Amino acid sequence: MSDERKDVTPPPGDAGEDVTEEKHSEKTAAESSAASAGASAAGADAEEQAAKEKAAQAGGAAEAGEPAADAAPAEGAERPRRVETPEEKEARRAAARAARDAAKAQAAKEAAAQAGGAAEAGEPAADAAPAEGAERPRRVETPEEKEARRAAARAARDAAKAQAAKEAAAQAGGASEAGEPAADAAPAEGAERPRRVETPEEKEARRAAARAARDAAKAGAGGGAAGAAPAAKPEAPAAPKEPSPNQPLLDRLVAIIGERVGADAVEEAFLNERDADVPTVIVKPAHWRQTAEVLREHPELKLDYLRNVSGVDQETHLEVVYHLISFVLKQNYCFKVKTDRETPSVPSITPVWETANWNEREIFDLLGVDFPGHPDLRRIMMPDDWVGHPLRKDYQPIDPEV
Amino acid sequence: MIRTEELLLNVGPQHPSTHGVFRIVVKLDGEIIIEADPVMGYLHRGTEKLAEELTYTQIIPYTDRMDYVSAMTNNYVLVNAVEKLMQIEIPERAQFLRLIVMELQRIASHLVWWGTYLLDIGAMSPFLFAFRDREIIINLFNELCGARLTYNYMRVGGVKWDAPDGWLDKVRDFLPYMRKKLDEYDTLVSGNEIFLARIKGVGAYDADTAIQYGLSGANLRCTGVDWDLRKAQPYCIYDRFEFDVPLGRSGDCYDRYLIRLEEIRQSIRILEQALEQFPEGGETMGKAPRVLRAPEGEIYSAIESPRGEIGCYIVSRGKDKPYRLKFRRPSFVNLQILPKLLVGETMTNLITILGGIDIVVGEVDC
Repeated sequence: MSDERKDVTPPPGDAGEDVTEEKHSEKTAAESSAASAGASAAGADAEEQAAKEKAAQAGGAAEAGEPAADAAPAEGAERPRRVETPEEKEARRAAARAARDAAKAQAAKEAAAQAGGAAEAGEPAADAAPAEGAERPRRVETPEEKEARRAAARAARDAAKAQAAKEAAAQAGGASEAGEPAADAAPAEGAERPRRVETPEEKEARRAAARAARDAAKAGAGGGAAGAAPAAKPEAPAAPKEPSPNQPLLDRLVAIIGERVGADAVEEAFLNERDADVPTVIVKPAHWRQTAEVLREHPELKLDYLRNVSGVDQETHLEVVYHLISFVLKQNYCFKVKTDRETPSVPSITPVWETANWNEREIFDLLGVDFPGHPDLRRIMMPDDWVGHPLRKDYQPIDPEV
Repeated sequence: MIRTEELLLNVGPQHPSTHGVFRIVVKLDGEIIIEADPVMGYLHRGTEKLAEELTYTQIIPYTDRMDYVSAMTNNYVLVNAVEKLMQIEIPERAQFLRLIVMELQRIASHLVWWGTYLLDIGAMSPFLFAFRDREIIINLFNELCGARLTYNYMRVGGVKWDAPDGWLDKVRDFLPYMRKKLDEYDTLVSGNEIFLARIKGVGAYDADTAIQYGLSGANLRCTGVDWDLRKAQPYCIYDRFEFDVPLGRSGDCYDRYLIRLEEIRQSIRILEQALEQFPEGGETMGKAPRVLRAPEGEIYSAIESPRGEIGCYIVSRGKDKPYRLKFRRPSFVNLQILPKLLVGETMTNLITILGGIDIVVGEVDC
């Protein structure tokens, strides 16, 4: 009934390593390299298509382009595997470099073209790339190597093109689907080969090529983003793919706050896609106390239960996050209040929800946020004479020995 | 005229009834408490700060050490939040194993509470019975994952170990045994006159107060509020099983006592159904990438631990480590009502009320 049990208990330190080794070895090397490149959400696995689409939608243009990037090494790294003389190695590196440059030039050109003007800027770069890349491999170059270099260059160029196509699509208003098939096709083609054995050199080559392609993708994204920015920005929070059932709730919530507290109380309102579309509202500190009372009393909200209060150091500012639920209407909401780092202060809501008392003390203790209106604001976890607020990102203990 | 003076008394941090290192400074007028100030932080390890430097898998053992009486549910709240954020599918077999260990854990946790609570108020033998029966569960866990308290059993994507041969049968055998023992507990304690005199009507509050203080678990349900996250916002596979959520009426320590005992019975019911439906074969780990990089975003995910709503708020910036990890610890939140309940009570009732809230200091301090 039960499967065979692994009898080797790993040492406690390697807890991070043990996640289904075998399953992953089945994945293609290209895929795992995609994962290591940080594109985990955009892995080329067909089953993870949904996740990928989401990632792409969220604006992860760079990730979406990455699978394509892996095609380059896959194909290019194939040949020189068996014996590699120093010359070959050198040649291979040069090839990778050339590919990188070519891709960069390509991306730059495309970006420039997209931007409308300044095509000249792209041109010299394109010229420079081959000039530099052609220098090295000239000395010794077997036909195989030449072939490998060309393949790598081709793959990188394809990647850059795919990227450009995608960006064009994004600019046109449609999301990044257009770019995706191309990006997917590339690894599918190249991924097959290098799976079996991979020498350190090959790995190195693959990584180098992946890096090159990634750079290309970034360059492309940069150009595209600059053009698309004004069009894309207002769209992002307000227009989810298919309107969520929570959208009316959010709209109503904003309307209620606007009408009962003040039109300028809401700083920002959006649905948290990562968290089941929870309506999330950022409230201005000055209006928070009054908003809290409205939230608790209003017949359409009745947020009687404060589940959790968290403090977050966002480095640019501090944030206090409130998760609320209505026991009557069974609806979750999330509220945030932003405050600056130098003199952080958020009105206390302990008079509204008693449970905020110790939570606010904890945030005061660990992050240093002042809560005017709190009945008994003092440290709760750290000793009273402690210096500093440990959960701050820049916290330095006064005595490193402690 | 007798001259009376206020007395400031320090209860703890080393005190048997505080279940850990926890201190209450009480101001006494004779034997009556007129003010109480809980002092905590003796067990503060900075788990949330440490977590910012750890990968998600490395954080799991830290959750074991928060509520060390209920490590399985703590494991779950973290991995569940990460899985939701990364949208990872969990295989059926892993879901069942998770549910089974969580419900066994609920029984074990309530047994610890039952035993120590009675010990607090002066009954020695129930403690021995409770620990005898809990030992069976601890041994089952030991067999499953090699640890008795800090299991580190769950992983993002599934569970670390499959059940060894015959393990499920041992669980199956345990259930009727436990049911019988529960009846014994009832006969022994639940109707005992001295016991009733000690806890009936003590530490009572109403539903509005409970909600206002953010109480959860038996502390909330003893006032009649029907709120159990297993039913209200089902997670794991709880929506597939039939069970009742026991509710109290008077909101006193006795109701909390009855609810916890009844919850053991309901857990047995869930376990019976889960063993019945347990899938043959299948994976115990889903498709989780080797390096867990949660996508940028944030999530608050909560489950019903034996002590109430334990939640995990993750802010991710797309790295393999959380940018910020905050635990909503039911012990910490539930404990807030203590100073309010203690005013006007006697010193003996301090022990009864504190025990009734059911805290684990590792979780209060985190």
